[in-house]
Amino acid sequence: MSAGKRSPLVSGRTRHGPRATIDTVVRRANTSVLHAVGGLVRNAPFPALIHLYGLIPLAVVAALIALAPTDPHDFWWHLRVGRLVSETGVPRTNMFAWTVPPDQPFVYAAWLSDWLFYQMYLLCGLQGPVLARNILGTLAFALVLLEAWRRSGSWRLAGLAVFLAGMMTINNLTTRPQNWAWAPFMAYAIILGAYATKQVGWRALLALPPLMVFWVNAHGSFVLGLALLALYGIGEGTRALLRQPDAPDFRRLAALAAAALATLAATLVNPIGVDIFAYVVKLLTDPPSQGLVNEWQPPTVRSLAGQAFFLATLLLIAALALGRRRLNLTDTLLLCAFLWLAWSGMRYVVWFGMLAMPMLAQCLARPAPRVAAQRGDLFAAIMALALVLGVGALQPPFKSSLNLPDSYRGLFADVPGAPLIYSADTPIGAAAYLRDHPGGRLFNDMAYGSYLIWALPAPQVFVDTRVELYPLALWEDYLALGEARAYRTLIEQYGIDRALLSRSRQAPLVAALAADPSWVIEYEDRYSILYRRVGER
Amino acid sequence: MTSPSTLDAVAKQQTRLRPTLDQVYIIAALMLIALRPLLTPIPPHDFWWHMATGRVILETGTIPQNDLFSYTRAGEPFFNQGWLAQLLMALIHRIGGLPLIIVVQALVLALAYGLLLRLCILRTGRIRACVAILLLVTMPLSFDNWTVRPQTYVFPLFAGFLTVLTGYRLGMARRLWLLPILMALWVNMHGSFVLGLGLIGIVFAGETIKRWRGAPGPRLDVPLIVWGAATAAATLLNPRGVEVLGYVTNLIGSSQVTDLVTEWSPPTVRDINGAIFFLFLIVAALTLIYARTRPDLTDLVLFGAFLWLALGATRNIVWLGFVATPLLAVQATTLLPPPPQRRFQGVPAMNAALIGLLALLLLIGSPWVKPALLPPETGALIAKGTPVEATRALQELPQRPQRLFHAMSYGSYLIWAAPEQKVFIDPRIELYPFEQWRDYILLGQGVEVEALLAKYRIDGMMLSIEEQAPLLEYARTRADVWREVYADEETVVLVRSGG
Repeated sequence: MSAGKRSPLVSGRTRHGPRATIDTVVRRANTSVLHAVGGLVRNAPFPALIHLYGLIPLAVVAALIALAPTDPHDFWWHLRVGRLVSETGVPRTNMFAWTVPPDQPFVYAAWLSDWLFYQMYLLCGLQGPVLARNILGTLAFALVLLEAWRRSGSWRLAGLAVFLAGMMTINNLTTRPQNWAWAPFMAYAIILGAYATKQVGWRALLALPPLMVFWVNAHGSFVLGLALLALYGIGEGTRALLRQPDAPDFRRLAALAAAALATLAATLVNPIGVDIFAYVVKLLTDPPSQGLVNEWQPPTVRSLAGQAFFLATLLLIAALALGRRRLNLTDTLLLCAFLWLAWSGMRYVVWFGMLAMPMLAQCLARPAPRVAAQRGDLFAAIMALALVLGVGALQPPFKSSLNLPDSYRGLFADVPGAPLIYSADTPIGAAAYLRDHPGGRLFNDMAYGSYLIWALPAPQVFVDTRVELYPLALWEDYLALGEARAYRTLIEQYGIDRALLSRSRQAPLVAALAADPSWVIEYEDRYSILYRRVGER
Repeated sequence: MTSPSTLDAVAKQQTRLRPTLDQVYIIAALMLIALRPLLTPIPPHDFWWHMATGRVILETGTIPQNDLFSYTRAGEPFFNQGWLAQLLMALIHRIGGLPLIIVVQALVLALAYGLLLRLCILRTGRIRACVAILLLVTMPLSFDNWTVRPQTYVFPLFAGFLTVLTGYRLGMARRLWLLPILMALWVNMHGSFVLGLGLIGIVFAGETIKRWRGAPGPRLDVPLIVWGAATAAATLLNPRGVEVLGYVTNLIGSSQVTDLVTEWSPPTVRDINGAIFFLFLIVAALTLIYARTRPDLTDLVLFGAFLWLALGATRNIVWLGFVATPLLAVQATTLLPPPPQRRFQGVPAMNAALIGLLALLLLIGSPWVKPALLPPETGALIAKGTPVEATRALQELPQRPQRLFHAMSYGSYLIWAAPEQKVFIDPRIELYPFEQWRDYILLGQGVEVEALLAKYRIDGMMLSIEEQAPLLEYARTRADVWREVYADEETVVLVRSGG
């Protein structure tokens, strides 16, 4: 409206009498309000109905993340390290286990994640780290959704991609440093994917080195960022050599190469510099980790997550065969590389899912996606709000007040200040007992070791989930003890006089000590049992 | 001037005597396929107990319904579902011994993969490409499963099913009547007969979907339904009738089988055969991505179904090889340039020489010749790890142990070579309870030795040095209890002193 013009609402004068004037004013006001509201709805960033195809699966995945218990294995010792980082700096030695020298070097590669978890703990108590996991997971899968939509142009297919990627990750949702790596990985995938399709310029690549500085200090999966860069470089370079349509020119390739070098340099910005690569190699070749830890084992169809993974792989192959669109050389290279990676270990399936499911969406999409006008829709906005509120209600501060079934509640330990968050086999009571009754050379379940590192003021565990810290022989003895094989010999050998055991994971030893008169029960609950050795045998 | 008919006759005569390069390709493929089993010594695990059972059937005229060979499960019911294959094996052995067994194995495999090659050529018209795919893709995927046992004898039946069904659905031939006949054989030879029903079901489903989506033909394929039902009925043509289905279900669901046997475990990239399998998947995916046409829906559904089967157990990879090869051949050949009108067929004399050379290789590899010419790894008829000498030594003992503990593979050989020596355990996995398998593993690892030896009242041991070293070490430190009566590079035989 121009400056000199008056709104009819304020003119006060109509063609008819005063009564008509009021009616007219009211009617016009109502119409104007409705128009204004309608304009607001149309122009406001409300989601359209079509967006619900993506938002609903995202909400389902976010809900699954929020509902997943945090088991004791990895989380607690990371939180303890986070406290140490906060108070004294990044540690560099064992500190917590009595079976290896206290000053045995150990690389705490995920120190930044540990510190961040600890900050969340300071902010929100024990709910904080899990809240962080939930937010990070939702963010990562939101990026999957966006990437799938970018590739396919279809919210329906993007929603399918998110759902499948989420299902593949279902056994990898616990709270641990890997959570902090999900979003950087997807950021790399999006930036590089958009760069390869010329949707962004070289300036977008500037984000990669700073992201890597964060990533290299947050989790050992930072090498996947380098792998993505390398694969994009090889793929796009080959496409250029083959003069394929839409292949990048020399300038774009040079920018990519420069970004790769800068990113590589950024990996050195960590407490141990170039030795971080030696750490990664050691981890990938560490016999106990590779041979004994479940998640390092190849996926098979014998688990639910494995079935989801292989089903998604089959769908992907079918989509590749029947799909309307074909993957380009770079994407094919990425797919093959990450598929092989996923086949080699369950812990890699999450990366494959996040990278490959958007490609699935792309293959299933129409060759030239119709860009339909997507107007903001109030119903969609309400639905989206409901989804947000629904997911929000599952977050740590609110989840415990929901009327959740007892069978679900039974999955959790009663942690003061953090109900329905930590899994039931977290040895809260046993650790409290040990805190009040310290001493002795303790043999413990591996997962319990992680919690004891957090819960005890001066923890000294037999083993914990810092798998690469302990030699293979020690792990073999740990397994033998848990199965009560030659347990008397091993107990004498290590001088063990207390044993905190998992009733389910170490049932043979539980039974053996129960029958052994030289051991008495000090503490027991539904999941764990603490024995003490008494006198000579 | 020579008449056209004479020229034709000469041309035909020349063709018969002057092989073309295409013919060389085909013959080479079959010969190379046959060469592999010829050069593979028979491993001990499954072969011998099947032979022993076949011998019993041959000698008694009846199929054993109970365990005859062990002392731990003596008399327990045991379903000898593959009796016909066992009988065939025993008969072949009676006629020509191990050499003939090996040659028949080679012929069976050449027949099975020859049928597969024929199917691929019929669908693509590209002989050389099909041969290349068969040799470079299918063979590496499958030949780890080419051991001498009933399963191999049904490979031609599986290939036959595939050929008949493919020929029917692509309009190349109508021979569905063969299916019940093939099934009648299959159901008496190996438990994989259910895959034949699976093939029919999947083909029916795939073709029905295609027709509902507009492909020509009636909505319901009545002939396939009728002959499918007849084939299902043919599964009852076995000594135990409908019980055979329960046997297969129990076998697949048995935790002993699925947890303890390597080939029943899912493939992973951590061993060479698993790596080959997953590499094959990559190659298959790439072929499907870049092929110039979309694959046939039924082919794709077959591939997906058998891929899922293969992902569940290594032993199912061989079936995937059969099913996937025609699909890959059809898709891969779309990437090739069209063949020239007159293809170079080589020089006939050179072609003949090549065939002759391959024939010579087969001759050298034949079981009657190879022991004299080739090193033991390929020249021997039976594999290292078969306790031939140890068994002989055991038989020569004045007082033989009655309750012998031994490696599982040794059990299979003992059943054949020393049937009077009852075994502790053998590869009839489903016969023995899980607890016994657990005890077998623990004892071999030297765990709870005293208790387990007492539990089973073991009075003798025939141990594999490689697989049962801890138990051997235990026995050797108890020289007052265990006396070593035989030892070679692989096997040690001990008996209780004074017993």
